[in-house]
Amino acid sequence: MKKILHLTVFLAVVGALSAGVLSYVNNLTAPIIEAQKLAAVKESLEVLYPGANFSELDAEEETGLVTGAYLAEGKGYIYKVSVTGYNASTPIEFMISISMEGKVDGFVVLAQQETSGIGSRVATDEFKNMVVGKGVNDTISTLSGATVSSTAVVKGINAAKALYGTQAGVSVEAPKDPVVEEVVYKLSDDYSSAGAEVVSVDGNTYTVTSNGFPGNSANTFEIVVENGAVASVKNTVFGDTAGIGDPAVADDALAGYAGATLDSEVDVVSGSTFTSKSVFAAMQAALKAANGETTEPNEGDSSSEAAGETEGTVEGDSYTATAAGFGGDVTVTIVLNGDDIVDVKAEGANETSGIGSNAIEVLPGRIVEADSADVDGVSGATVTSEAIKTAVKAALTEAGK
Amino acid sequence: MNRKENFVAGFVKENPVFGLYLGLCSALAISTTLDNAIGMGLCVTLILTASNMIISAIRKITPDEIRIPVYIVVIASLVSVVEMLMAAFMQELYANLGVFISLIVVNCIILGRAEAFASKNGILDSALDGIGMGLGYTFSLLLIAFVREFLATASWTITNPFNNQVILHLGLEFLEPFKISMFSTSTGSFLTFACFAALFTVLRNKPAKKEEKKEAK
Amino acid sequence: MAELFSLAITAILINNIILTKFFGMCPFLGVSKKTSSAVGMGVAVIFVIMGASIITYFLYHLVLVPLEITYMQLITFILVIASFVQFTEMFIKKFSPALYKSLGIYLPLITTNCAVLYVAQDNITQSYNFIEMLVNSFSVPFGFLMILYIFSCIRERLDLATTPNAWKGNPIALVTAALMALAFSGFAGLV
Repeated sequence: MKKILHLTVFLAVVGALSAGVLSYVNNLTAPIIEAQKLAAVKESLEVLYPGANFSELDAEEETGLVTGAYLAEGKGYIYKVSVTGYNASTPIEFMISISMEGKVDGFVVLAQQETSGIGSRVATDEFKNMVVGKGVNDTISTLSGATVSSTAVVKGINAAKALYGTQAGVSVEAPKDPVVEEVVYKLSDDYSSAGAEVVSVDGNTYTVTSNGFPGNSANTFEIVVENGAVASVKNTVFGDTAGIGDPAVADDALAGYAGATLDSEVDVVSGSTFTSKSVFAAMQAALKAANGETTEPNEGDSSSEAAGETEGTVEGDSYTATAAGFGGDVTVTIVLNGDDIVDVKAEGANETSGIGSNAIEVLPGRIVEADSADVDGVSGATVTSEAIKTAVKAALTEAGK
Repeated sequence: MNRKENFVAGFVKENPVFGLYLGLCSALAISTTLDNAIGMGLCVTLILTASNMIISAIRKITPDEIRIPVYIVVIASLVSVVEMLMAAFMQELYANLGVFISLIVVNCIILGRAEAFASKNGILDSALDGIGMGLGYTFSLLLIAFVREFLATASWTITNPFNNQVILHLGLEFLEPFKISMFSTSTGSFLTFACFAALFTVLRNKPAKKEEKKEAK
Repeated sequence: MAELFSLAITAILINNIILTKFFGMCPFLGVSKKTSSAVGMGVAVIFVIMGASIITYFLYHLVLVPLEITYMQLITFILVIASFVQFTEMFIKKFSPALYKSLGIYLPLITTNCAVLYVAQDNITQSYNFIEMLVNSFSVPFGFLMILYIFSCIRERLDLATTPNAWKGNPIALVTAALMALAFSGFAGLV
């Protein structure tokens, strides 16, 4: 008994001695180690609050997105956040600074490998301006077209804000994580910019061409209509951008439209908006043709001889002008309502099919929307585009505008 | 063995790494560069000497049954202290050696020497034994690192761990196109080690062979 | 689930504890002469590492962190490991004398096996949650067992081959290890 006591006491004494020594050395060295860790991060912290005294805080919070928390004495709080955006293998790392008063002072993206031109927009001033200067309770909207990346970043910012609330003792209304607004498309919407055209009918099968992304060749679809609803859609010619528009004309996407009528709601395939709309336009045209209605006013047909069918009733005064296009003359008819350009029709029978003809189909719509002849031309169809614009301007001059 | 023999033994005859095959984990992993080898070697020497001295000092009062846990506590405390000091004052070296500093605790050399020597001998003898073994260990690490760093980078570099100043840099630029980076990976590590192990086997057996030849005559 | 799987594959093949990280070298060279003892050692190591990891994990998160004495990590971990091995030895001695006899000296050796302390500390530095810790604590010694087994198979043949005197025993074994390391480096980039 005495022996065991002796052993235990001895071990306990040794243990206590070493604990004491360790604790002493720890107190000695811990501040030095901490200062060094801070020195490593200091550079990036200085970007947000130059010249301030920094100290590190505990970054523990429930989402686990916040990787570092720092206090800039007297100025505010800085949070380092890491979120997974569109690129699953490399996270987006950013720092956000929130002032003592609850205003977002700064936002800096440290690293990201998102899709260039799309997700990478979270690192641009465009997004930064949506974040900086706002109060801590303000919601931040996501970037349209860069949904995944910006949603991830906003979630990270919300996590930082929640932590700020706890650390600064400020009550922060937990901003709701962004819900991506779903834009609802109906088949009856206006898809005139796609310039859908029924080129042939064979029983119930309608062969329709329609444009997707401006500047690309038209897509051709074979749509079977039964009892006023789409029975099947087949894509026979794909003129859109390979690698981007494909998902919208994939078999499973097209199969999803079976049973669609003009009243149906349809979903755009994400990332292939233009091509999806081209499909919608084609289905609309087929359905309308099946119903006995003629299609939307033809905005340009290189084989059409008639001088622009006036299908829709557009009120206003018409003016016509001509300019030299690529293969021949381009004739333009504009309808003005007061000062507004309400309708434009262009024809150029000799413009190159698939190139200049795209400009003839697309540009009029743009000009009406912009209410001006100063619009972007169609890429790849510069000459025809310029001709249309020149003609429109000439017509406007004629109208005295 | 007298003191001098004991001290020298740590280098060839009883070289901890190539002869006794102790402390291999760190020997293989650390010996990528001279800096790391020197740093690690000195760490081990320091801890080995200190632990030998402490254990020798308390050998008379340590109960036999709990001697192993006591040794472990002493060694672990020493390692923790060294680790904290290194993190504070020698960040670069600390970052390079990383987890291997804490693994000095399980370095067979230290516990082995404590058990085999320090628990039975005086403080001064234990201290010398610690320094001898430690330097022998450092010597082995240096040998491997010497070869590996040269084959992998065609140069030798030594930096001051306290302020990252380069003390010595010896580069043979004309050999740069021939460098074999494999030697900074695990494969090169094993190969170099194997070659040295074979070499030391020969060196150890040489005197014995001479004896044999003499007797045969 | 996928992360756990890639964690396991990384631990077993890519960052193999013997071939890439060099932990567990002493038993590697000492025990691998016979296949049966290699397997026995490997299994014992798996048991010890899993047990020790679980205990040290809870020790760290439930005791050291709340009390803010994380600088005691090294001492407490190594004491836990030593005690756990002692306990395992007594346990095996009592319940399976045959197994005890075959493992014999190796059990106490596992205490100083760098691998155990390394895994215990790795679980902390990598901030694994409980499940990840379990997967890691199993995969790493499993990788150890696998390499130990392969190596022992090779070594049984190697000992019978004619080798130059200087290379006999450990040196040639290390060359074999070098070749194995080279082969396994091909797994890099698998996950």
